[in-house]
Amino acid sequence: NSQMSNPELSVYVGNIDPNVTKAQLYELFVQVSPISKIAYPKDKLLQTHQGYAFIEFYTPEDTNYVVKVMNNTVSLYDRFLKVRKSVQNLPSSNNKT
Amino acid sequence: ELEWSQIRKEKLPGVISAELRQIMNLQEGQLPPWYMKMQTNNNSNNSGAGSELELPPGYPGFKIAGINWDITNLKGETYGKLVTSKQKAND
Repeated sequence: NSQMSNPELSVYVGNIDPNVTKAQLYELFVQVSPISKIAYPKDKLLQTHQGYAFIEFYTPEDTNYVVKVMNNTVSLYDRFLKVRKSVQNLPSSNNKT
Repeated sequence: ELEWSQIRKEKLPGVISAELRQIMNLQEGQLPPWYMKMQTNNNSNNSGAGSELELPPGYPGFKIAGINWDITNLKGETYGKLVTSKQKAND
């Protein structure tokens, strides 16, 4: 259930306070785009959230729009959410970091 | 925590609950912070302002109070409204 079916349509959301719930992430991001699915991993032993999530949308336009309007825009518990596309580069670009 | 199917039914664009407003530090009757980022530079239209709003592509007909919906609709937990093709834009 934590797998994104289409990474190209997904965003990575980082810097999430562990008190934030999946329902709150849904309510926040549904404000700017219809949502296909959310993966919000928990540590299996501690049952705490890991500080990041992947959210999948329905179209590339939606995905790009979410990154544009939501990166560094909203703070939850005084921590600004970082939002970027899950797939940064096409596999063929073969970037080194 | 609510069931996923129930969340999908209950949480809609244009309304932000008191619970979420508290943790994002957004007062009732305030526009959410992302509306500032909906501005896009485009001089080709007749607005003359030099920028216009790029509304969510996933929500055709989305209304935001004070922008393309009457400002008096900005109250409580509501700041916007999803208008389906069957409804009139100004109910």
